[in-house]
Amino acid sequence: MAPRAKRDNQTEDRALIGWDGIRFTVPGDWNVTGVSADRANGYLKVDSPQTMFLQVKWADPSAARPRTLAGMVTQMLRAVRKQPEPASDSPDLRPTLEAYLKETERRARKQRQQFDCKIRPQTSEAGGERVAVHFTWTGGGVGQGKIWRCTTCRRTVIAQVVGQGKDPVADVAASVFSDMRDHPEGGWTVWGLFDLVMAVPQSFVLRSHKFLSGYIRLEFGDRREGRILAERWGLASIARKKFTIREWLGQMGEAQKHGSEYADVTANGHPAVRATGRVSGLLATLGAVRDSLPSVRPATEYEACAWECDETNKLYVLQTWRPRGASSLMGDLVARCECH
Amino acid sequence: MRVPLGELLQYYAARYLPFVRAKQVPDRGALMGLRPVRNDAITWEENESGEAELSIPYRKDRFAKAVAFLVHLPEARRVQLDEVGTFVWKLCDGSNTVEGIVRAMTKHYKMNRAEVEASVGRYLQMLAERRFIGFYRRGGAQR
Repeated sequence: MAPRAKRDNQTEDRALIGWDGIRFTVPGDWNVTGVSADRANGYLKVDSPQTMFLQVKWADPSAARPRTLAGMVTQMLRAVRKQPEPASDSPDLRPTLEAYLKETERRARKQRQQFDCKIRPQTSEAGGERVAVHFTWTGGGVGQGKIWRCTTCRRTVIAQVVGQGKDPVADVAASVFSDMRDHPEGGWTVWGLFDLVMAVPQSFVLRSHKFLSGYIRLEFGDRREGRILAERWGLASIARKKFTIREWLGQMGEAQKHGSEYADVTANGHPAVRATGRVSGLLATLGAVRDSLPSVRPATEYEACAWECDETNKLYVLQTWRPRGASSLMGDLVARCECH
Repeated sequence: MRVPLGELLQYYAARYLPFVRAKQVPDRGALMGLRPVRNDAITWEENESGEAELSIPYRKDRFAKAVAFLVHLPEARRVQLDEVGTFVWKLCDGSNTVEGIVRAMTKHYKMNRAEVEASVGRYLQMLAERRFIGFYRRGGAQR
C-alpha cells in the first residue's frame, strides 16, 4: 500500500510514524525520540510536546539470529530454498505482560506512588489476525496499552500511551491503536519520521540511520538487491541560494564519484535531477563485492534522484545501488516518498 | 540554559547522599518561557545580504589595558551571523520567549518543531555562553 494513500485518509493534524513495519499515526506535534535498529527486538518512543508519550516494543522471532552452528546452517538452507520460517507455538501473552507491568510497578514504587493495574481478557482482533490483551495502569502516571501477537508476521508487540493525571491518555490511545499496523503490506515497508515518509521493498533492512537537526538519513541494504540511501535536508531555501539541485546531488550525493550522467525529470510534481552511473575503481568495486557476500552479484549500478519541495522547504535525495541486470527501483521509491 | 557547576554538583550529591536536598531543576516549560535579550554593549547592523554583523567591544579592565599596551587590539571584534542566526538574533529583543522564537522559526522555515527546538536551544545556549545575550523571566531576575 502506498504511504500517500494512507496519509490522505488522515486528518490534517496527524503525522505518520513508520519504523520497521510498525506503522501508526500520532498527533502532528508528536515526534520520535527513541528508536532501536535491532529488527528482532525493536523499540520506538514517540513524545508529545507536553508530558504524554507512546512506547512500542516488539519481538520478532523470525528476525532473530541463530546462536548455534546448526541453527545457522538451517537458516541458510531455508534461505537458499526460499522456505518460510516454521510456525512457532503461540506464546502466552499474559506472562509477558505481567513481567512488563511488574517493571512499571517497581518504578512507581520507587517514586512512592500507589500502583494499580487492570488486565482485560484476551480478545481476537483484526479479523482473527491478532490475539490481544488490553491493559491500563495508574501510579507515577497513567498508562493505557495493549499487547498482541500477529499471526501473519508472528511479531509480539506491546504498545502503551503514558501520561500524567489530566492527560487525555484514553483518547490518544484509542486513536493510535485504531490504525496501528505491525507488518509491511504489499511487499513495501513504510518508514516515516520527522516529516519524512517513504517506503522501501520489504527485503531491505535498515543498516544505519542519522537524525540531526535539519538532516535525516536512512540507509537500507539487501545482499541480493543492493543498497538504498534516503536523505532529507531542511532549510532548502538557504541551501539552494548557493547550489543548484544538480550541484547538490553531485556533491552531497555520490553522483559525481560514480561519473554519472544527469537528466532533468519531475518527481512528485517538482523539478528534479536524476543521475545514473556505475561504481568504478578497484576499491569501490571490492567494497560492493564485500557488501553483496555471500551473493556474487555486487551492486554496481548507481541511480539517484534529487528534488526540492517548495511546500515543505526541504531537499530530498534518493540513491540506489543495484546489481547489473536488476530492475530499477528509483521510480517506485520516488513515487512512495511523500514530500508534501 | 546552562546549569551552573554548583547546582550540578548539588544535584549529583543529592542523588547519592540522602541528607542533601536537590535543587529543583527547571523544567522544559520554564526554559521555554525564558526571554532572551541582547547584550546592550553589543552593536549590530545588517549587511547587504541581510546577515547581522555584531560588533563586540573588548574588556576595558586593567588586564585588558595591559594586553592592549603590549599588543595592538582593535576597539571591538566583529562576528557575522548566518541567515538563520540573524533570524534568531533579531527575535532576541526581550519581548519573545524561547517558545515564541521556536514557533516563529518553525513557521518561517517550515521545519519540524522538534528539530527547531533542539537547534534553537543549542544556539541560544552558545550565544549566552559568549555573553551575547542574557535571559530573563517576566517577574523574575535576569540570568
